[in-house]
Amino acid sequence: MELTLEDVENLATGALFVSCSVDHESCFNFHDRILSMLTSTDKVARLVNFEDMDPDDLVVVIGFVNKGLPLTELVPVGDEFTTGISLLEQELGTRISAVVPLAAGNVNALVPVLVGLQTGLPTIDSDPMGRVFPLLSQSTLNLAGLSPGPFAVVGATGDSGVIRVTDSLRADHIIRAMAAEFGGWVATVSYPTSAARIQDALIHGTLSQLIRIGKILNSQMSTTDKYSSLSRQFGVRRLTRACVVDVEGLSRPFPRNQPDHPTSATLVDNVQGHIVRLEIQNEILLVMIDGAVEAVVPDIVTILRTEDAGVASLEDLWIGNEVDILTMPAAALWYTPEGLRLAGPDSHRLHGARRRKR
Amino acid sequence: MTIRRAAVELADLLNTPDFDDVTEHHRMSHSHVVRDVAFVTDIEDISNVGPGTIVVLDESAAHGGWLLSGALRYAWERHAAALIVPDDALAISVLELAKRLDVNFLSSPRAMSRMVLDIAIGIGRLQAATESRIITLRQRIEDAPDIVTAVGLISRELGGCLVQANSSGTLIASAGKPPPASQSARVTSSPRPFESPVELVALVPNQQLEFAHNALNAAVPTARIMLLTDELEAIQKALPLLSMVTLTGLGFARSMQPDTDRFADAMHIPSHKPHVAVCLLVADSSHDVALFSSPVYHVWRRAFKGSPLSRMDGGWITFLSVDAVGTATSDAIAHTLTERVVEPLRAIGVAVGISTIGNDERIASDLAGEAWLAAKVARPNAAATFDRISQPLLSRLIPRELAQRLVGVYFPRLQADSQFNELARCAVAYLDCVGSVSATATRLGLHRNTVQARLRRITELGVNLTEPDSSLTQHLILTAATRCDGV
Repeated sequence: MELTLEDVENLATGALFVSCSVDHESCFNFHDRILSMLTSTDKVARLVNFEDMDPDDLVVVIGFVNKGLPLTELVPVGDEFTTGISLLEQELGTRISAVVPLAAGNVNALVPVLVGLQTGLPTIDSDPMGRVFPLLSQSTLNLAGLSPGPFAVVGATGDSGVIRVTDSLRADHIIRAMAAEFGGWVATVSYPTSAARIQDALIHGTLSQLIRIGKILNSQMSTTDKYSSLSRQFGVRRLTRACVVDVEGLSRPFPRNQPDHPTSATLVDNVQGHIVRLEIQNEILLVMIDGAVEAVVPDIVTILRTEDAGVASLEDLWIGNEVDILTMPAAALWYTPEGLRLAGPDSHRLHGARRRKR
Repeated sequence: MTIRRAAVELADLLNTPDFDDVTEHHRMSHSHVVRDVAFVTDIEDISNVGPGTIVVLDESAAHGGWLLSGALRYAWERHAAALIVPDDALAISVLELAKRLDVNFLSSPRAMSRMVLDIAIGIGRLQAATESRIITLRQRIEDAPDIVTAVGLISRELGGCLVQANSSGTLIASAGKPPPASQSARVTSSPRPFESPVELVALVPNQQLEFAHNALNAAVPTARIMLLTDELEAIQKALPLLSMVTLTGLGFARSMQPDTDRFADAMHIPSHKPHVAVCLLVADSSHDVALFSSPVYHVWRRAFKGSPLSRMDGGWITFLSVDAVGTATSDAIAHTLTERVVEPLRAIGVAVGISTIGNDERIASDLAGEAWLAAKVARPNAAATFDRISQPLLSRLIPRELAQRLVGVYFPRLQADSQFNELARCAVAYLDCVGSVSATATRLGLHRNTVQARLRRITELGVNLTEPDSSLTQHLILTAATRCDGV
C-alpha cells in the first residue's frame, strides 16, 4: 500500500491521539518532512504486511528514545536513522529489508515512513507496543524473549555507536544513559531479526489503525459523530468532559528509570461535579473519577478539545481549560498477567490502581 | 490489622484531649458511629474494612494524591466512619473529594502507627462508659413497679426524648417528647408462640441513636415480663368469672365448674346496682386471641381497673358497673367504651358488644349472652349495644364462609353463575326495596332495564324472590354471603 498525502495527515493525527504527551511539535515536524518529500520527489512511502516479506528478510525496529529533552528542543538533522541503518548493516554484514516503528504513537509512528522515503525501505504495518510506553523494554519483543542487540544509536551531534547487548532492560539503561550524554535523545535501530521470527512478536495493523482513527478525527463530522465512530470501530469510551482546576508536580514517588517526572492534574466535571484526577508520566497513566479508577495503564488515555474533537496535548491541561477525556483499550496482550507485569500499573508505581469491572 | 471494637460516636471519641492534634478537614453532615479501627498499609486493604471503621492510612499507603483519592472512594463505598492520614499527605484536590463524597476526613502529624493504637484505646474507654450506663439503667428498670414507670426511666436516660412501648400495634406506655430532626431506634422482643411481642421505640437525635438502641435492647426483656405479669394478674382476678361464663350456655370454658353463690362478689358488681355485660371479640377470627392478650389487658386495666376481663373463645368478657363508666344510658356507655378501649386497640381490630343495663346478678348469664350477640354483630373497631341490634345487622351473625356454603345448598345455579356477586347484590337490594324495581335501580345506581334483566336472570337460575315465606332466608343468606371483610 502506497501512502497518500491524506494518509500521512491521518497517520499523524492518529499517532497523537493514542499518545497524549507534551510534545506534539516533533510529530508535526516529521509530518512536514514526509509531505515535503512526497510532493517534491517521485519517491513513494510503502506500508507492507509480513505476507509481502521473505521469511529471511532482515527487519529492524527504529525510533527515538529520549532522556528528558523533547525533539523540538534539539531538532534532528534528518540522517540519524540512515546512519544507524548503515552502521548496523556493516556490523551484521547483511542488508536490511524493512523497518518497524518502535511504537505506534507520536513521532515514532512517522519515523519509519520518513526513513522509508529516504532509503526506499518499506514500513511494516506492525509495532511492538500498540501504543507508547516510556521504556524500550516495555515491548512485545521483550515478552517474546527477542534480543534487542546489536543495536545502533545515533545522537543529535553525529555521535554514534553499535552496542552488543542481549537483555532488554540492560539495553534500556544503556540507551537512556547514552541519550543523556548525546544531548537528550538518540535515534535507535534495534532488534535486527528475520521477518519470520519477529512476525509473531509484534502487534499487527497498528499503523493502518492510526490512519483510520486520524481519518475520523480529521473528517467534517460533528464531535458527537466522531465519538460515536471511534466508539463503534475502536472501543473508544468518553469518560468525562471536565475543566482543569489544579496541576501538581511530583505527585508521587519517582519510578526508577522513567524519563519524566510524575505529575497530576485535577479537573471538575461542570455538569455533575465529579472530581477527576489524572496521573501523568510521559502519558496519562491513570484516570480517577471521584476516587474510583476509570482507566489505568495499559489502557490508552487521551484528551481532545471539546469544540472540534481535535487532539490536545498535555500542555492543554492549563487551569480553566475544558477537555474531553477518552480511553481506548490497548492490545489484548497487555492485559495478560505477563503483559500487566511488564507494563501494568505496578510497573509505574501505581500499586493498587485497578479498574472496576464493567 | 483490624482491632474489633463496639460502637461509639465519632464525635465523642474526637472530643477528648487525646486527639487535640487531629485536624478535621471535612466532617460528615450526619453523625457516624465507630465500630472498628483499621490500620491500612496497602491501599487495597480498605476494600475489606467494615462499616463504621476508622481507617488510618499508613504513611507508605498515603504517598501520592491518587492514593488518597482512592482511599476516600473506598472509605465512602465501605461506609467507613472516617479516614485519617498523615498531615504531609494532604492535597487540595483530595479535600474537595472528601467534601463531595461526604467522608469524615482527618489528618494528624502523629505517627499513624501510634494513632491507630490511641484510637483503639479511646474506643475501648468509651465503650466501657456506655456499657456502665446501660447496666445501671437496666437495674433501675428492673426495680420499676410497672411498664409506664420503666418507659419514663428510659426517656429520662435519653434526655427526655420520646419513648413508647407497643404491643400488637397498640400503644401501652409513652413518655417524653420527640426532639427536632430525630431518628427512631426500634427494638422488639423475640417472638414466642401465643405471645404478642413488645416493641420499644425511641425518637432521639442522630448522635444518640446507637446509645438509644443499646438502652432499648437492655430494657425490652423487662418490659416483656412486666406485660406478662399484668396479663397473669388479670387472669387470676378473672378466674371466678370464667365459671360464671359457663353458665350462660354460650360454650366458653366448659371445663370450669360454676360456683353461683360467689359470683356477685367475684364479679365486683355491687348488689342491686345497675351494670352491663361487655364482650370484646377480635374481628379477624383467623388470629389466635392469645397473641393480643397483653395489649388488651393493659388497655382495659387502664380504662376500668376494678373490672377484670375474662378470656373466652375468640375474645374477652366482663361485667361493668354503670357507676364505673360514669354514665347511665347504653348509648353513652358504648361511646365511652369506644373512646377508652376500641380506639386504643384499633391496630388489633376489636368489636365490642354491650348488654342492656341490669341490676340483678341472677340474670348475669342473660346479660352475658346479650353482650356476646351484640359483639358478634358489631363492626370491627366499633361498639354495639344489644338494644340497638337491627334486623340488617342480624345477617352478620352468619359467618360469611357459612353463608357461602348455604348459597351452594339453596341456590346452586345462582352461585355457579359468573355474575354471582352482581346478581346477589341486586337480589338483596330488591328485597330491601320491597319489590320496587325503580327503588332498586336508584339504590344500585343502575338503569331500570339492567335491574330487570338481572332479576329475570335470577329467576332463570331458580331463585324466586316473590315468595314471602322464603324472602327472609334469602335476604339473610345472600347478605352474609356478599358481605366484605372489615365492613
